[in-house]
Amino acid sequence: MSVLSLAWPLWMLSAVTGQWLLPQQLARLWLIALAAAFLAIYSPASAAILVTFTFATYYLAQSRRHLGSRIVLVGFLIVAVLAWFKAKIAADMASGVLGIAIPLGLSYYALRCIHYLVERYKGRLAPHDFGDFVSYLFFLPTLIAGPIHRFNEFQRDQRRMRWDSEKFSEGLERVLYGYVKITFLANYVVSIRLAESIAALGPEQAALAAYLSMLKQGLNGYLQFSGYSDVAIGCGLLLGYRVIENFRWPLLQKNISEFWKAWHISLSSWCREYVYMLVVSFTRRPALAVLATMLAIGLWHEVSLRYILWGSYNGLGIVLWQQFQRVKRWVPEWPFRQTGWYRIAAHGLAVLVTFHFVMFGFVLVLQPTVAEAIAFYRAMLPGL
Amino acid sequence: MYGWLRTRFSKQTADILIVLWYALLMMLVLLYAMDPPAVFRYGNI
Repeated sequence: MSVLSLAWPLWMLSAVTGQWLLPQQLARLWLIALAAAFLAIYSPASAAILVTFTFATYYLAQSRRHLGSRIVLVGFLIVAVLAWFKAKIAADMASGVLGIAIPLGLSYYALRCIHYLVERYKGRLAPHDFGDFVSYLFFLPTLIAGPIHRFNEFQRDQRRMRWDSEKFSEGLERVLYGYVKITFLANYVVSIRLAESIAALGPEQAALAAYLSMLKQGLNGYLQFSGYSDVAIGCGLLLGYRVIENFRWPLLQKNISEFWKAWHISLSSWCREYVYMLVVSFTRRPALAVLATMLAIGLWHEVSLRYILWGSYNGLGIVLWQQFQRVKRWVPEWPFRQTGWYRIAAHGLAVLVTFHFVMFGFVLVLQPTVAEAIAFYRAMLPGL
Repeated sequence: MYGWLRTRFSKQTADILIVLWYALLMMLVLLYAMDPPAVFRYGNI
């Protein structure tokens, strides 16, 4: 199911109509029922898993008695289900078998459930009932491709729900921008026109062609994914909910650390809160925590060597950047460092270096296998 | 976008510009939505 299919606007039209024409309690039920029907039609296995997760997460985390043990148990169950699907798909891919697909939205709602469990344990959730929790998990705009929105923000919007024409028009505009990114920029400009320009290059320009292909794949990935996020955020606004942002100009950031604060924000902030903080509190080693976090991000995408390498590559990049920041303090100030032209040039160079570091990393995951990624690097850098 | 236009133009001009802007975007989407979608695979999520 893609937001580009004709069915998606019809689902959203039904959701928006019910949300603003029905009384509030009925509208909430309507949105839950629509999301449940959507999942049951497109991925019945996912619907069954989500219902199980919903009941297990909510009811086992209610009583304060042995709360820690019960939360660990449910969290383990959720991670085990997610890991089983990811590992099974990885094994099928390795053996060339067309096996099962990951249940629609599982990667996202699994993280939402863990977020709820941890926040419940820490006592940071506002008072709510089962219906609030169900409407949080069964939220159609973010159900299949994120962002991984947070419970308290969602509930705040639900409590203050009222018609807001500015929010609604902002939502329409955001959906439109999302579709422009996907259909025009990603599909036409990058994947058709740029691909034609690359194909027109002669064999003596193979390295340039490989370099441009790297940019094409990286830009296509960014535009498609951020376009999907725009559509989801826009649809959320149409229903009166402001969902967490997912991208904030990531390809214009001036270092890899800033890049990861601007790329897939809902996932990176989730991992910072629940993986980084956990590892750092146990080990007191921030560098190790960064590596563990980036590895978790890689494995969340796919259990495979290429995603492990990609996670480690980005983790090492962040650690090296942080070490460089320490060393930089000892370097004496250059006299012209504060001048305007120096700042502009340094900023431009930093953005360019970060952009290429990110694009080089994307080759690992945008090629089907690690061997093909290595062949790609060799084509781009013939002397390698 | 409309807010940004309103800080730079009169209300009437901003109204016209926003309609033109949305019309342009809608046209782009409708024209290029017919092209076959590009392959986009971002892990198994």
